[in-house]
Amino acid sequence: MSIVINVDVMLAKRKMKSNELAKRVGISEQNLSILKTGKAKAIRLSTLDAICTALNCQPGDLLEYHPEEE
Amino acid sequence: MKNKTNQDRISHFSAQLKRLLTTFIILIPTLTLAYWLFFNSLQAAGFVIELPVEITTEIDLITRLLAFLVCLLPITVAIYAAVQLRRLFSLYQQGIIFSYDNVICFKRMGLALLAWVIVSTISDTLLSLALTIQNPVGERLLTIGFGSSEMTTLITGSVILVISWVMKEAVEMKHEQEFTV
Repeated sequence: MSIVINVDVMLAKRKMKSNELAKRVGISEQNLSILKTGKAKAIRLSTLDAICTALNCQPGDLLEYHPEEE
Repeated sequence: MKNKTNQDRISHFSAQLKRLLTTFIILIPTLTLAYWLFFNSLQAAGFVIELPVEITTEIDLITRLLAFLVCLLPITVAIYAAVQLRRLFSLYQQGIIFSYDNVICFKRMGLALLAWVIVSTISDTLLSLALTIQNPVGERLLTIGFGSSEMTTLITGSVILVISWVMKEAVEMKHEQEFTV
């Protein structure tokens, strides 16, 4: 997929652990792992809102578009 | 606890239906064999099932075994469909409702019912030939028939096949939902 999730980068910048973010956002660690590994098919706006609040960042800091090379 | 969840009900009734289908799978070929083995005695006792040709006299063992073998053709297809249905109920019993295995069961069952229509029509023709093959020349019969039973099965098979396609969509939706964070 051309959309890259940069949750890991933001977690490192904020020096926050995955389990803490999952707890703050209110999702399971398993779901956060799905998001981090790029396996997610969709992300709810409410989840994105909660992650941005917890990491004090913009959606653009978390999602990046990289066109796939043919 | 009296409060049964929907899943409990599905598991409970699926287990019962699975047992019923197991009995069906064992009984149908056994009863068919018994019917042809004791055909003459059953006929004398007045127990007659509808056959493609009318039998008024006693028939020999070879003809009866031949008739049994012909009857095995649609029975094999029907048992295959029953095995798929049993597998489906086994999945329901385990709480697996929307998986690709369920879709495969529906698809195979639908195709088996459609195949049954063709096999049943052919076997009726073969049965008429098997039952009259030992008759003198000129009294041998070859019949062909397509009745309401075949029509009903054709419609049921088609409906199940469409359901299998709908189930595939449902499985894909479930898969997408599982990966929505």
